[in-house]
Formats: sequence, C-alpha cells, structure tokens
Amino acid sequence: MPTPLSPLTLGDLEMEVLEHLWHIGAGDVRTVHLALSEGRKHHPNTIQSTLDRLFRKGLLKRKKLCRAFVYTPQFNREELTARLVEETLHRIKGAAPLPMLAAFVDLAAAQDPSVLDELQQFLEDRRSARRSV
Amino acid sequence: MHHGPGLVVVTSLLAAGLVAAYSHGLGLAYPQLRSHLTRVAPESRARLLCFVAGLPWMLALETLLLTFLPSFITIPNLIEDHCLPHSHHPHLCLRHGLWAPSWQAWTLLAALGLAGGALCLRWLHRILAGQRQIRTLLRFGKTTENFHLLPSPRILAFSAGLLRPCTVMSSGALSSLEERDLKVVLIHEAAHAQRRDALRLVLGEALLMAVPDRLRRMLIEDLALACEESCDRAALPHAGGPERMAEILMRVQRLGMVSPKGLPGVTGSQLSLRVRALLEESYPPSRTWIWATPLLLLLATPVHHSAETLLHILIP
Repeated sequence: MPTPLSPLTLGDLEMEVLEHLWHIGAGDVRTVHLALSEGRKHHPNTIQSTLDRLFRKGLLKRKKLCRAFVYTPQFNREELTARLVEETLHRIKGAAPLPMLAAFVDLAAAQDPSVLDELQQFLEDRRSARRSV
Repeated sequence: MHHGPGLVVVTSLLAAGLVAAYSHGLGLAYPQLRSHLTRVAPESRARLLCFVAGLPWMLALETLLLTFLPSFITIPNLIEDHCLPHSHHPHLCLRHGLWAPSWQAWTLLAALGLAGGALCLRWLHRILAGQRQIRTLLRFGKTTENFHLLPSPRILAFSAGLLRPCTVMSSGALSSLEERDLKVVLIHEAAHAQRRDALRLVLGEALLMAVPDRLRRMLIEDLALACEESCDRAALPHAGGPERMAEILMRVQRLGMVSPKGLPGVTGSQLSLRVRALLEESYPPSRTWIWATPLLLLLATPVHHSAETLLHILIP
C-alpha cells in the first residue's frame, strides 16, 4: 500500500509524467517513455523510477497487465491543485509556518466572524467620529 | 604548564556558551521589551526586530573581541603584559599562547558541535522542503505579467519564495474581488517581495535558533506582523486611506473565511491587530543609538578577566 508523503512536492519530470498520464488516461513505462523522449532523451529506468515514486507518493494507481504495470492517476489536476492549495494554506500559519509564505490575510487560522463584526463596528465608529468633527 | 584548552577550543566553547546565554537572556527580556517595540512604526520595528534577533550573536562576537582585546594591545606593547604576575587561573592570552586542549574540552566541543549541527540541518531541511513545496504549487499555476494565477476557487493572495519571491493569486480571488481591491492586494504582495520579507523572516528564524521555543515563536510572529503592517502602509496610497485599506483587509478575510473553528472571540490571525494599527496608530519618529557603541570598549578589561575567571571555574 503506497504511503503518501506530506507535504507533497513534485520535480520537473514527475510533473511531466503526471501531465502525460492526465492526457492519455493510463500508460505503462514503455508508452510514457516513448511519449516523453520525443524532445529529449530519458532512460527507461528513469521513467520507471519516476512512475514508482509517484505511486509511492499516492498520486498513481497501478495494475499488472502482461508482466508490466499500467499506471493511472489517482487524482485529476483540479483535485491535486486543491490538495496543494490546502497544504500551502496550512503552512502559512499553523504548527510549523513557512517563513517564505506571506498571505494577504490568513485564511488558514481559526476565525470567529464576531471579531470581524467588531472590527467593522470599530471602523464605522471611527468614520462617524471623523464626520462629526 | 597547564593542560588546558587551546585557542580554537576556548574560542568555540566561549562563543557557543555566549550565544546560548545571550539567547536565553533575550528570551527572558523580550516580553518586557515587546510593549515598547509596539510603539515603533512597523518599518523601523521590522528592522529593530531583525537587530534583536541578531543580538545574541552580535553580543557574543563583541564579548569575544573584548575578551581578546587586552591580548591584542599587549602584542604591540600598548599595555603591560599582565599574565606573569598572576598565575592562579588560565590566561586568555594570544602572546604567550594557549595550551594543548584536554580530551574533556574536545569532547564537550564535539558534543556542542553535533547538537548545533543537527539543529542547523533540521532547520535547513525544513526551509528546502518549503521551497520545494512552493515550486510544486507554482507548477500548477499560470504565469501572468504581475503574478502567478492558481486555478482554485479559494480566495487566495500570497507572496511565495525566498530569494525571488512572486505573488500568487487564485482564480477565485480574481473573480470575487473588485479591480480596485485587487490592485491594492497586488501592491501589498509586491511590497513583500521588494522588502525581501521572506528572507528577513528566514534569517530571523536562523538567528533565533538558540532562543527558547515559545519566545522564538513570539518574536517571529511579531516580525511577521511588522512586515504585514509595513506592506499595508505601502499599499495605503493606492487604497485611498487607512479606512479603505482596513475595509479591503476585512472584505478579503470575509470572502475567504472558512467555517469558524475557534473559541468565541478568538481569532488565530493577525488581522485584528493590523486593522487596529491602520486605524489607531500614529508613530513617533525613530531614534538611533549607534553613536553609543564605542563606549563598549570600556568594558574590555572587566570582560577579559571575567572570561578568565569563568574558564578557571569550568576547567580548573
């Protein structure tokens, strides 16, 4: 059973392989290798280990057909983007925030609408005080 | 001749001890210092907090230099050699040389080196993993002229990256916010990149590694708040005043707000502080104390003798 690594990170080739599998739906090492080697040379073993890595990250499913694994994406592009967005949101604040992320407002933190109402009231009070001067 | 630690061992042990001691001292003093810092304008406060973060290291370096200063000025005979008249403790003297390090001193140094190295590696791993995570996220977006567009219904706007930070906006933010508000959000995020806030925060984290965890978080949060407030102020001319800026902040927060999980009256974000800072604060002009630093030279002799006495206690 593959264990998804957290947080999710993808290299250039992993992204290319995923893009290709999203495009064709499913493929084995040979078909992916053929498709990705058009522009530049990749060794089949490199493609094999990339597919294996994506499987271990929980991003691909695989099924053995005629002695070769056929890989299919576990998530579509939108689902994976949503997962990455959620992971990133939780790294803006939380237990171990990343210093290289700065959000306009912090959406990951627990929010109480009454705090916003209070701030809105504060803003209104200030405006009316300024008008009355 | 004494069998004691040599120059490298003494300097390293002293440096490690001093950084640890000053870091803990900073941890104790910061809660008192904090209330004074909030009265400083955010731009100066961010610089001041970076200075505070580096203070344990700067003070350690300064103490080391002061410790060896009497030795430096003995070499060209500016002051009289003082090592020979008193022999009751080891001397921090570059003129007569330091002694061969004992195995205890080497063991202590190796243990400190391993612990420090492990801490640094753990921190570096976290930063590199964060950078990889950001690169992965950006691969799912499209690059436009001013920002990376992320296909997501969430209302998102943030700057991401360390050395070359970029602004990331979600398609949800683009479709939900008015053009005028979007411009303000973009200017706010661009200000983060221009001010190199990410680098500031990463350096701050690195410098505060020896500060106790709770206080380190407090200091980093204060630095992050100062950076956010500075960028809010940078976007003020485009927002059309503090009230309008506060309104935009609250609007974006309301649009992107997830279902409340916090306790009543508790908010985990710094929004409340930022809005109040925009609407309430007027800051006095900042002052500089750099002229006072040459006075530190007066401390050279007492610091030198204190270090020797400390060495005598630690390694008799």
